[in-house]
Amino acid sequence: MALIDLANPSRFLALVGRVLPWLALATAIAFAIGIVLVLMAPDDYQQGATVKIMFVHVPAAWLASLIWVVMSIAALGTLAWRHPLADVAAKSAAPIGAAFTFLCLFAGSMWGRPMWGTYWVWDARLTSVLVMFLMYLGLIALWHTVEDPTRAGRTAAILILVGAINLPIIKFSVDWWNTLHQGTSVFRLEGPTIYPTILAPLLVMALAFTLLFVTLHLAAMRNEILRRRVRTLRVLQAHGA
Amino acid sequence: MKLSGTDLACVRAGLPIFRDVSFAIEAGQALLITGPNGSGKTTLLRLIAGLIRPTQGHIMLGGVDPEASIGEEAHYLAHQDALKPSLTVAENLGFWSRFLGPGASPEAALAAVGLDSLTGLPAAYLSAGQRRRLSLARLLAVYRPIWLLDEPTAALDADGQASLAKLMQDHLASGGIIVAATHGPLGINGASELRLSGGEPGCGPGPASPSGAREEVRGNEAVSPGRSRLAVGRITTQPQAAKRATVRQSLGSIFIRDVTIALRVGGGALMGVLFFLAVVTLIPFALGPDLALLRRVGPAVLWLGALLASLLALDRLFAADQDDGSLDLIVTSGPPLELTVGAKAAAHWLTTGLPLVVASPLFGVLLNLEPGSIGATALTLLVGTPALTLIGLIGAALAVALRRGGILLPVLVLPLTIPVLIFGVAAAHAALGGPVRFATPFTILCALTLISLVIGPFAAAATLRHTE
Repeated sequence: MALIDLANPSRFLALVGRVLPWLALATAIAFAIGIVLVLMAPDDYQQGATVKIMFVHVPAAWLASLIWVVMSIAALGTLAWRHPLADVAAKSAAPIGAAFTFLCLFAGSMWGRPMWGTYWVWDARLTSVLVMFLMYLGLIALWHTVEDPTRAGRTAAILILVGAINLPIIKFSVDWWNTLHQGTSVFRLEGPTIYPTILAPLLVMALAFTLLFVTLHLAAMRNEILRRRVRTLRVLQAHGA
Repeated sequence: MKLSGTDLACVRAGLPIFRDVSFAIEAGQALLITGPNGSGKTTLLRLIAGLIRPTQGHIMLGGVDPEASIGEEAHYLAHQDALKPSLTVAENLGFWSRFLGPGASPEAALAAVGLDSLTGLPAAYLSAGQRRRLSLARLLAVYRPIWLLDEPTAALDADGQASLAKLMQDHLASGGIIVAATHGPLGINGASELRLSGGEPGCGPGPASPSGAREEVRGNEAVSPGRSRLAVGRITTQPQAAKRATVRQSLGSIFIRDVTIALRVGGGALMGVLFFLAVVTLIPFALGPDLALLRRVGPAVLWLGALLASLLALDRLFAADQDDGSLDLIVTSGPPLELTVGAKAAAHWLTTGLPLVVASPLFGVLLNLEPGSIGATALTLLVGTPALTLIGLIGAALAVALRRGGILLPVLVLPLTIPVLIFGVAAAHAALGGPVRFATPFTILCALTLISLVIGPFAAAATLRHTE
């Protein structure tokens, strides 16, 4: 199947129907391995068992950013090529992105309470994730405000691309402001600074989270396409077709 | 039942629209108001409906309960269809039937206009002609003896015009009265015609002279200028009195409608909470991330955020009803306007104010508040946000009266909310100890809310009544 065929929503639906069970299975396996590895990983000598929260917190944070990238590509597709699926992709990614961002913030504050003595600090990095959460919610609100999906789609696409400017700020905010939040420790020029015993489960969990996102996203896109078809059918019914 | 107008004149924005207009119609009769664009046909209908007051002359309704106003006995069908796009066809019709009073069953009314296959469809999907048919169905689902129709055939196809003619004939046969502004024949036999000739362009108000509009009533056959002295050509039954919904039923239906609309697409029920979160997020950027400082100013930040969020959300409370024509029906034919306004305020608070209260503890955590302080702030918001909504009602009504929205509302209303803010924040601070007991500012806050409950709906209703 050529890539261009996927532009046709019917073929896309057929493909999703075939792929989705396997993706769900892969997600389940990745999570099973990841959770076992996390349980086997040693506790931190300072942080104790709370370090395990990181295995949820960090992949969720990665996903929060990654989903915005996915939405930005979709937004380009909407604006530049008016691709029929691009708008669907962006719209169905937004609630998933918001959920992962919330998970990241929630897990972070659960960790912050015993470690920093407070659920929340206005650290640059935390704050920019919070701003990102706000932007996700704003986007969802925008889609929920406009009844006509294509009209909402183009407006939302512009907002997504503007919001994409926020992503680098999150990534480099730690280096710029260098506050209470610990610096980057996985992706560094000198190589990772965490032990492989912790790094391996982290990477597996990241993979599991990414698979979970892909599965949820495809399912959400399928729902959105079907929802739009129902809407079109009802409009046609109203106009006596 | 007899509806008559004597020597009516109307001046709007300093320009005379018409003068010396008189008419009289009895049960079972129809009056067609004709005339060129701008001759005041709609104005005359709104005058009869009681939406505007005549500059001169008066309108009388004889043969009914002397307490009843014409607006209560009449059903005004304006250019706007008084439909909510996010509600379904059945929900739109069912609302008016419950709010204004029953008539034919909504199913029968929809069948009469040929919409019975579309009951579950949101009104947003309807074409202009279908929307018009739906508002015609409202005439049946809400029984009123007098129909005031403003160009009822607009957007209707031939089939729709035929069924409209039949509806009107049936209404006349049952003793109803129809006054219709129209450009064409409506297919009513034996209707008399009131021709408004329109003002001559460029003519200002002056002494009684050929300038300005003059009225002319004629029967279908003979043209007889001057006062209408219509011979009653047929024996008619007297119409039934309008069936009115109980006040409780009316208020319940508008409360449920407003909550439903807020939760549907475009309703924006949770938008206030998002705005609240955005404000709370911005404050530390301005103040700096000092947790001790944020803890000190936290209750004030939460109060300011809730204040702004609840006021900004009020902008469209009445404006939406005005734009789609619902407000005309609510003002003229509904239950006492103060109560309706109160019910709308309650629905608005439930969908906008209460979510702010529920979200405030979470935002309190962001601002590093202590648990006691979080609880106290949430409690003061629970008591105080109704006051904000009720005070904001006045601004929302003014925005409708002035036909200006947006930033004007907060400008008008923010000064009025200062007492609520003072005692709300004072109570939240007093909960943590200090020279003042918590109960002192808190009871004053409760009192402010109760006072707003009295002032808000009355002032808003008075403003809406004088909108025209």
